[in-house]
Amino acid sequence: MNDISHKQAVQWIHRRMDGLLNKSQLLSLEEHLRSCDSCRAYAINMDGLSAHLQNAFHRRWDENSGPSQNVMEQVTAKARRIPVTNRISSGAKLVTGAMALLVLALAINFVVSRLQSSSPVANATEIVDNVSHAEDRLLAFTSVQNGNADIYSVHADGSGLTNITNHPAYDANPFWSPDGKRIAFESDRNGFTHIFLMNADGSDLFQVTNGKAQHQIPSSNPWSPDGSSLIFTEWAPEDEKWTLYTIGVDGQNKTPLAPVPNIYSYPSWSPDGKHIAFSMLEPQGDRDMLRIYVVDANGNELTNVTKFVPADEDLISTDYFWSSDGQSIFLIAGRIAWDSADGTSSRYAAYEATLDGETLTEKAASSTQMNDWWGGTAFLFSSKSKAFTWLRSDGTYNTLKPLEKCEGNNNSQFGYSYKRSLNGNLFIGATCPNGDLWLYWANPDGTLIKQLLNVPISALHLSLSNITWSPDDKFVAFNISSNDLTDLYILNVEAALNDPSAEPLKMTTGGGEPFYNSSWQPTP
Amino acid sequence: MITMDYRLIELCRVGDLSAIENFVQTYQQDVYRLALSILDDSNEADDATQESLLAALRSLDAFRGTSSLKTWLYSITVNICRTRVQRWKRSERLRQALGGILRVQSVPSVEENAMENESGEALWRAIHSMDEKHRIPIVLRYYQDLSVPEIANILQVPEGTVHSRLNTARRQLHRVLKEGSL
Repeated sequence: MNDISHKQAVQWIHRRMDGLLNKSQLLSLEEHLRSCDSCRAYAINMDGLSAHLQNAFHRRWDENSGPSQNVMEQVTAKARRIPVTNRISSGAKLVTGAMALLVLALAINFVVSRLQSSSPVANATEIVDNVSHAEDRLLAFTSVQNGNADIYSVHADGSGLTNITNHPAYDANPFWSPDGKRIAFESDRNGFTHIFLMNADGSDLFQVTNGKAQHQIPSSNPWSPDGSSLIFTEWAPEDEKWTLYTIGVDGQNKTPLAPVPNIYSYPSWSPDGKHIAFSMLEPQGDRDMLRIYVVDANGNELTNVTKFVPADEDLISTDYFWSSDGQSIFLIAGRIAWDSADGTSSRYAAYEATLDGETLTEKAASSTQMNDWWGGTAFLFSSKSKAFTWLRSDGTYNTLKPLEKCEGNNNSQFGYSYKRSLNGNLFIGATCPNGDLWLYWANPDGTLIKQLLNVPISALHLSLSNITWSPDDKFVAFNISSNDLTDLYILNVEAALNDPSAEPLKMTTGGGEPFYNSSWQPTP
Repeated sequence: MITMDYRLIELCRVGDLSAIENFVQTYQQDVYRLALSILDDSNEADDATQESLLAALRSLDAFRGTSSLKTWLYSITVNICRTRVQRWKRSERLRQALGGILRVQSVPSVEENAMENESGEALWRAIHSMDEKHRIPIVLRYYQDLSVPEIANILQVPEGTVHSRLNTARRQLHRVLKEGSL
C-alpha cells in the first residue's frame, strides 16, 4: 500500500468528509492515520466539528417545525392564480406570429370550405400543407433508453430510428435549424454543458459555446429566423447568476442580452430577427408579477412591453406570440378572485403590446380562464365544468366537454394539455381520473372539433407532456408518462382525422424523459 | 433517475386546486427548513418559503427533469434566499452609512438578533460572518445532509468548487474550535 504525505492526508481527511475518496484511498488514509498522531488528531477534530455542526444546526432549527399556517394559505391562494403556463412551445411562438396572417386567411378559407362541405375531415385535411413525402420528415428527441441521455432521430412514419449522438455524455434538447440541416443541442461531453451543432446524421460536430461555465438552451427554440444565431443562457459561477446571450453559429459575436433569474425565461426571436422577447418576474407590491421584456438582438434597448398591464393582473401564461410584422406582442394577463366576498371577480384579457411598451390594446376579455387567443378567438377553460370554449369576436362560440367521456364523471382529478400548431390548430389531451387519455383536434376558431381516436390511451397515473406539432400539421409527437416511465408517441393526425381507429406509434420503451423537448425537422 | 409524481405535476400545471395544495403540502416543510437554515429567521423563512413555492409552481411547466424535483426546488429556494440576504445586506449597508452620517442608531439586523440571542456562541458568530458562498454549502452538507454532487447540482457549481468551499468553511470553523472559544 502506498504511503501518503501529511499534506495529502489532510486533504484526504476533507475529501473523506465529503465522500469523495475511493476504497483504495480510504485504506491508504486509514493506514496513514494509524501511524501519524498529528493527522489522527486532526481527523478526530474534523469529525468532531462535523458532529458539532450537525448537533448545533439541529438544535437551532429543528424545534421550528414548519412554516406558519399563513404561508400554506398564502401559497395555495396565490398559486391558484397560476392556472396555466407555457401551453404553446416557445418554438411555436416564434413562427406563430409570422403565420398570423396566413392563419386568418386559412381560417376564412376554412369557414368557406365548411359551408361547401359537411365533412369535417375533408376540411381538416385542407388546412395542412401538401408537403411531398411528409413521412420523410425527421423528429429529433432525447431518450435515456441506453442509460444516458442521447439524441435520436426517427422518420414521421416510425422508420429509421437512429441514435445520432451515441456518446456516453449527456446529450439533450435538440432543435432543428430553420433550413432543417443542422441540430443545436446541449452536451457535457467536454466537462461543462455547452451548446453544440451537428448534421442530421450526427456528423460535422461543432462546439458553439466555450469556457468554464454551464450553458443551456433556454427551454425554447434558440434559432434566429435566418439560422445565423442562437440564444442560450450561461451560468456565471463568480456572480452565481444566469445571463441570456446570443451567439453566431460560428461561435463568434457572443452578445449578452440580460440577466435572467433562471433558464426558464422563454426567449423568442421576432420574425424579422431584430428583437428578442423573454419573460421576467418583476416586483409589484408584495408579489412578483410575470412581465415580458424585449431587447434588441444587439443587446440594447431593454424594454418592459407590459408596463401598462394593470398592476393587479399577472401574465396568465408564459406563452406570448409576435405579430407578423414583429412590431407587437400578443399575451394573456388577468387576475383571479378566489374570494368573491369583496365583490371582485376573475378577469382574463388578451392584449397586444407594442415593442416600445407605450401602447397596450385589449383584444378580448372574459371572466373564464383564458388559455390563449388566436386570430380573434379566445380559447377558454372552465375549471368548474372542465369545458373548453372557443369564443369568437362575433360572440358565437363552440364548446367541448371531455369530462363526459370519463367513467364516473368525477371532475376532481381531471387534467388536460394542449398545443397549438403553427397554423393555429389545436391538439388537446384530456385525462380522466381513471387514467384514460382522450385526444381531440380543433381548428383555429373552434368551429370544427373532432375526437382523434375511437378509444382512449389508458395507463395508471398517466400524464401527457411535450406535445410537438410537425410544421405541416400532419403529425404530433408527445410524451406519455406512467409510473415514472415515459414513452414518446407519434400520431399521424391527418390519418386519425380520416380514420379514428388509427393508433399512435410508440417510439421508445420506457426510456423517454417527460420534460425533454422533441423537435420536428422544418423541411424533410 | 426521476422519481417525482408526474401526475401531480401535470395537474398542478393545469391549475388543479387539490394538486396545488398537495404540492404545497408535500414540499413546504423541506423548503421551509432549507430557507430557515440559510436565513436563520423564522419570519424571513416564512416569506422565502412562500416565494419559493410560488416560483416553482409558476415554472413547473418548464421543469425538465434533468434533476429531481426536490433538487430543482432547493435550487430555486437557495436563489431566493440569496436574493433576500443580498437585499438585506444592501439595506444594512445603507443603514450603516446613514447611521454614520446622521449618527442614528441602526436597527439590529436579523443576524445580529440571532447572534445576540445566542450570545457567547462563537461558532454561530463564525457561521454568520461567513459569506453565502461558504455558509450555504455548510448548511446544505451538515443540516440538510446532502452529498457534494447534490449540493453542486443545487448551487450550479462544479463538485470541486463545493468541496473547496466546504474545506475553507471547515478550516475557519475548526480554527474557532481550536482557539477554545466554545
